[in-house]
Amino acid sequence: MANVTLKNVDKTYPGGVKAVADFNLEIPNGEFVVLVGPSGCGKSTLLRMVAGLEEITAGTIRIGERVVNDVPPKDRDIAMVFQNYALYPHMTVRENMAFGLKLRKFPKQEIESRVREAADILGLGDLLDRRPKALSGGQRQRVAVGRAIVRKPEVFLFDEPLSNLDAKMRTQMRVEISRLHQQIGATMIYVTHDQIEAMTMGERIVVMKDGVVQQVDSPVRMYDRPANRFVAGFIGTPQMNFFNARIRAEGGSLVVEGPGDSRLPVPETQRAALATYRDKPVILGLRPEDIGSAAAEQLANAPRIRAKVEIIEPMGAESYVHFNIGGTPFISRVDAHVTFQIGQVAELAVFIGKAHFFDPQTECRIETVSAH
Amino acid sequence: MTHLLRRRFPGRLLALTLLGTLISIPFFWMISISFKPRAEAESPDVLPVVATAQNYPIVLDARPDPATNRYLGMRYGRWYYNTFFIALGVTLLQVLTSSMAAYAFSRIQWRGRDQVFMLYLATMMIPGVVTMIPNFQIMVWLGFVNTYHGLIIPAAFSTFGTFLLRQFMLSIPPSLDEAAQIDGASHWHIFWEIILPLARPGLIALAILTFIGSYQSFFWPLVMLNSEDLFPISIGLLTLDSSYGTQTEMIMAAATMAVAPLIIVFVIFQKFLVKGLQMGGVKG
Repeated sequence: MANVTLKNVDKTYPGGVKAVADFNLEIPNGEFVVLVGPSGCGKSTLLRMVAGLEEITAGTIRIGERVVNDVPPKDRDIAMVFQNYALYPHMTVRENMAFGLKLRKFPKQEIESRVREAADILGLGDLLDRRPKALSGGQRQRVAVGRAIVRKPEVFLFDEPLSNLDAKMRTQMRVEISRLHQQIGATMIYVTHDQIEAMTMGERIVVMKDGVVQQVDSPVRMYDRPANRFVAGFIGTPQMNFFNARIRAEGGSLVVEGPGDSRLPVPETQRAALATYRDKPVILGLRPEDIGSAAAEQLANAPRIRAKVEIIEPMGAESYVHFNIGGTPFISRVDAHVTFQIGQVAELAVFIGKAHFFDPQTECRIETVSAH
Repeated sequence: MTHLLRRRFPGRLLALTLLGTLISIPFFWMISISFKPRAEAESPDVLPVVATAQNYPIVLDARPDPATNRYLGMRYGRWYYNTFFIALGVTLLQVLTSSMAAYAFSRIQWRGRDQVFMLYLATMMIPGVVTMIPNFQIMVWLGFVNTYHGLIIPAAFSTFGTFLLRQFMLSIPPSLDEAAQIDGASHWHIFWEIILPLARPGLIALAILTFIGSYQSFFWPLVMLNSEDLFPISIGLLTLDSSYGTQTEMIMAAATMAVAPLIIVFVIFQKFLVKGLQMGGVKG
């Protein structure tokens, strides 16, 4: 096991395209870190640089105590699981898993016992003599994971390993990979574009955009305190609602003047930070579960807004209701038993204590530091 | 498939049948004449009136020619051996060198790779006769004239083979190389244990084409060889014509025997050839 340290890592492709800019991250031994971001954000490039499949333009990558910048992939003591599985099609499951050990000249018995062990962990015992062609997508992915674990590497790298699976299989494999992490406790770096995978699996999440780190945090903290508008919109489904608003002074206090002439009191914890924004525009962010939800409705003295119902998406236990307020659309996540009519103007409670504020220019989060 | 073809494109089927028949006529003509006795050899009948297999033992030197009562002195055994030895040698080496070159041109990133490949490919535009004399000169310098290596070595490298296998290898996903690299494989391992097994249909297709090409090669052996011991069948057949005037039925019997192994090879491996040439359908 080992920690992984990336310091000032840069990647510029020939032709000047910058894939990763000044990336810094310290991953302690045994941590499960998820790199997440939209396609083209540099997350896969970063993983490939850790693997040694891609050269770095500047900076240092350390695995354990060793700087591995110029170390070939095979000597980095890593294993990687690829999006398309990358199983050797002409080899059986057993041969696929044993290939790396064979090349490293492990004794036959050791290879057999390690393959057995991995097959047991992953439930592949009956499939060892099959070729990848005869396996389902989920089984193939399990073999790919098996090929990684037989080597007992310091670090596991996952490059969007679940993207090719159907939704049901993806949920199942998500749990399996998390369980595997608990079982073997190795350092794991996992790349995905799916924020649900990031939230459910990562001990820490790194959100990237255009090669630049946006925020590094635990899933819950990232959800509760997104560092900027991009992270706020990226993490969470349905995504956070954003409103153009303005801070006004009113009766010795501050209010947020939102769309549709709505006026919401600024929560006490945010007053200090927002005081400097008096008469200035801000972006108000409200998660769908903080408008019109049961939790918001139960609050005493919750401020209310009036909005028109446009579309209702029943999800079973809850419904996503699309509203419109003064030309700004937003989504609310309400209990399924609360019935709305399309076209109806509803009055919704706002959980203003959970509101997020962003600077319209920098898009950074506005908050009072001492509040948290 | 045939049903489909018949139902949807009756015209096309007719045209293909006609074309196939046209192409086959000289071939069947050859076989037909090889079974005709001397008296009928020049007659325009499609089939022999009195079919006889006697031309074969005569050509094989098992019996004397009844017309002259002399043995023809043809050395079929030796020629077969030479032809197979040369063709197999060329095939083996050409598949090996082509696959290695194809690997370098498809799986390894190096500066100027694609430009070099284009340049290499451009050599396919140069007709063989243009390089014949310089090549012969090189063979003279190397002392390869009138040897087996003179026939095998120059044919061991092929632009077409490299091109064919490169296209094939490009269809194998690069993540396999990367996975193997992380597994600890060197280029040699990746080439030998991953890429070659996956490129097998392509290798077989190239092997068949090379074998047939080498089997049929005529002009280069004609230029290079003067010892009858080294003659392949294609050159051996010439002796029949020159030493005994034109005996059509003998020549046809000899020619039939010359092409027979090729047809057998083709029939056995035809499936692989088609598969290997349908490169687009290859999945890694």
